[in-house]
Amino acid sequence: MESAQSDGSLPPVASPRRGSRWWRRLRQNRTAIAAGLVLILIACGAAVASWVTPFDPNLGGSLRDGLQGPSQRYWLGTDQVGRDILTRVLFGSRYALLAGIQATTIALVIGVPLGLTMGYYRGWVDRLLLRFVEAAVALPAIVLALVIVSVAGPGLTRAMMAIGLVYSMVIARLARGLVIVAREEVYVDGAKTVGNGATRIMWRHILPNIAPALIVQTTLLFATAVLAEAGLSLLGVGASTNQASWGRMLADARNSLNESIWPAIPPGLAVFATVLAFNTLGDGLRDAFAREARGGRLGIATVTARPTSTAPTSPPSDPDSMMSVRDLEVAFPAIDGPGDVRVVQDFSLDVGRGEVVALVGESGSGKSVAAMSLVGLVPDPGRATAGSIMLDGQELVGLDFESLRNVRGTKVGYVFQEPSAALNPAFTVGRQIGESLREHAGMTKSQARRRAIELLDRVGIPDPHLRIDSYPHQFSGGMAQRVVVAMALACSPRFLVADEPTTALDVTVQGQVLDLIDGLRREFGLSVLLITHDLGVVSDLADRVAVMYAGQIVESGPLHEVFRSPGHPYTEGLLLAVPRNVRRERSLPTIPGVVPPPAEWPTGCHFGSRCAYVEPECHTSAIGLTVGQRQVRCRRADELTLVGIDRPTSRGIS
Amino acid sequence: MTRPLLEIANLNVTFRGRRSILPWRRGRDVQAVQSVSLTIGAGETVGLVGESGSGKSTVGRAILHLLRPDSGTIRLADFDVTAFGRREPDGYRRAVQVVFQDPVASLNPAMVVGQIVGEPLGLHYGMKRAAQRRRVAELLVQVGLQPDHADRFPYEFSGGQRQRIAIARALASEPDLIVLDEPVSALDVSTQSQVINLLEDLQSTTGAAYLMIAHDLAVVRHVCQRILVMYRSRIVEEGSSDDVCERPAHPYTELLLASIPDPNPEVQREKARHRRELAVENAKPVATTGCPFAEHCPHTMDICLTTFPEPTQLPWGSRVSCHLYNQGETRDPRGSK
Repeated sequence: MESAQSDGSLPPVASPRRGSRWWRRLRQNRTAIAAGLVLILIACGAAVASWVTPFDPNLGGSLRDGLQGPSQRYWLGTDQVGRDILTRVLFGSRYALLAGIQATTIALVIGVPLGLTMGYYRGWVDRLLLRFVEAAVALPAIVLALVIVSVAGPGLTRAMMAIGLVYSMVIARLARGLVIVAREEVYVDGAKTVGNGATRIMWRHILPNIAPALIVQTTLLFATAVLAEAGLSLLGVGASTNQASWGRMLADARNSLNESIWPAIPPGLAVFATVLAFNTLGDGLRDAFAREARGGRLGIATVTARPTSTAPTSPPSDPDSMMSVRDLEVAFPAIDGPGDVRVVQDFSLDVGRGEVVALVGESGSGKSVAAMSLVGLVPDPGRATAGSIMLDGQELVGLDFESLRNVRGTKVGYVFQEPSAALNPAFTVGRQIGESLREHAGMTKSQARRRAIELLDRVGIPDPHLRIDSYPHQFSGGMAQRVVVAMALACSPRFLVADEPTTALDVTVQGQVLDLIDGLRREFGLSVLLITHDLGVVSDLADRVAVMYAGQIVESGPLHEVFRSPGHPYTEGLLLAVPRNVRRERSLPTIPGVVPPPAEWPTGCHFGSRCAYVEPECHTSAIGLTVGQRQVRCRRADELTLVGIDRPTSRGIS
Repeated sequence: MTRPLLEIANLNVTFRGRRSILPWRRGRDVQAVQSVSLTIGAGETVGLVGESGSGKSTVGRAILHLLRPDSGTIRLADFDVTAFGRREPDGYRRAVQVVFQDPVASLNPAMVVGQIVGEPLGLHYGMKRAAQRRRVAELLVQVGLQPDHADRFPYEFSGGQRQRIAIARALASEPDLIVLDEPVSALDVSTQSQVINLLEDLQSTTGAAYLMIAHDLAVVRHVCQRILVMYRSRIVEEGSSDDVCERPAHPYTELLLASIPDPNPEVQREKARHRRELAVENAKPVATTGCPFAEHCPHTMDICLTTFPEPTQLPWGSRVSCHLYNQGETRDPRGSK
């Protein structure tokens, strides 16, 4: 939704950059920001330690000053030999950060190239190295550090190098896994075909895309490195006696533990705060980098009544229809800035009994959102309001969630584009069909099974008594879609919503599914709302058609009339732009430009900026839909004579 | 007669099944492409049509040297693609380019448009930053975008605009052949026609040849001079676009044509009737050496179950691999209906 300016005319304002998107998400995470501030504070403390304190971290005062509590002179008191604890904590942050930087630098320098190479080339090199990496990760880092220190002698840098080596294996394993996924992306094939070598693909194309995950992991490793330093120094193999590290302070405090517990508390808290801050920041970064992870969920909002004062005048809903909706509006909170974006506006539609009505439109026209909102399936942060939604004589507006759920379960069936997404791969199809029968029709297990076999038989699945125990992946695309249709029919609904039911199928299979839906309509008097972008599918199945553009129905009426003599310039443009199986005469007519994003829809005609017949008056005020069997949302509907399907090449519109 | 730009002869590609030391866990090998031969002349547009899994994209990937065929030859201009080692000569990467189906996935999300389109310029012509920028601006204008789009990331564009970016990148190295792998099937109707027209306009100025891989026969007919129809790893029919679409010889081509719904309800009613007539299921088992369409063919004979037919030249110029035409007689598909 954030993309799409019209071709050629760009908005003058700078659009948000990639960086600013995750930065904005990070800023909203208060805890992560607080953690970041804590870390900045610690880093500042480390930087200015020598200037802000009057004491030397390693030289004690007189023994008289030993083990004092906090006072005016020593804000955090003194340790056993009279050294100022605040000074030592400040200097200790230097060693903590130094230790973290040493360990993570080594981890990245070794781990990233290793992981990239293993993941990109795979093969025997990968298999060999992976065994080695796995073995190294299995070793506790601290134990390895102890071994190295015991061989090479103590020292903070040596200990951290050992830690870094183990961490590099963690980084390598993570990078390898990420690269294995990333190298299958199409953009990697694209990079190969323009002539990039393997090294360039790894470093220039793949690494920037997997960097976020590596950054998060590095942050977390930094925290464990700080802990490791404290642990090793406490054991006496890290920082030496004249290095005022936090671990060293804890070791010193241990010696005087019998006299006072106080000297252990400030360094302990410092370690605790630093590690907590790094971990919190790492989690915050992970959330910020996870792109659009929270979108796309179907909400459970009910449809609320629309205040009558704002409703445009429209005829009352048709009591004889299967489904009759008046003045549906769906709005989402704007992505940036206050207010709402109305993605479906002024939507009124009737579906008669036994009738197939096609809702046609391009992606982003709002056709799916409108159809789902009819029964209270509003995508997550959206809100739906309507004057009236009558389904089989029942008013749905204002129903509570539980009643709506019951309506969805018993009166409405759904078929979606991707059969694989509609079926749960973990359960047999029999169980999935039976589930709603037991839930909504109150059948027993064996009744549900019998009915499921009947349904599979009805939708044309051979050997239904055997296939009922198959899992979804054991069906081909067309057969899986038949299973979805069987599921939709389980509770004998009167109304079927079919959202792009054949788009994911091969064209020779498409016809069979269309015939199936048509047969069900004839046999059971099913009413169907068919959502599609394919005008050929519309003409195969539909009785009536409603064309949607940018959130509004721009034209509706009987199929033959609308396709033969369209009343709206957009309908004309669509009909002309479809390549048909005819001898080529010239280039395809096109509709210039692109659909503007919902936030930029004007108050005047939504199609105005792309219309060949536009007049200045079209932009001034909202355009209403004409009333009657043929409805058109165009100021000039009466004066224009538009070209329909009969004369596909006689005249273009641009 | 001059040599064609691209010559593929007897191409075979097998996807190996999962390796395992446990025999019952080994995956089966899949023959993705069998004995495929095709030629494309300089500046010609050839369509490769088939359903998902027919192997059409695999042929494209073999031409792009993104996979290694089992046998057969691919020759483009003076390059013998099948003789390449792990790394292909730079000149080859310049000579053949690609536009993929999915305009979201095919552009690196971490690079700005200027880097994406400019990359081949640096790689093949050693262009420096400033020169690259100038040329990228020209290319963007050529595909209907604006020079200042170079500083934006792919996610800031709509599907059609992203496909224009992919086309600009393909044009950057001035290739002799562009493989178009379902270039418009992810786009909306109104955007689709814009991109089709753009591809046609660009061909008239650059003279590049196109191999258009697609499942939509109507789109391919509009764009291409010749069409090859693939079904389950084999080419079953090839001929001029109008011949293939007006007098389909292979029963599969006939079914495919009848299956494309037409927006005209009257025409569609007739097509749907024809489509239902053609839809058959044959229960007889078909050997792997047999015709893959025998399961669904209304004319299946015993020989179809065991032997895949050699291609036959038809009087009007099409070539078809079907036993109906191997009996000495010529069946006119339209007349026999």
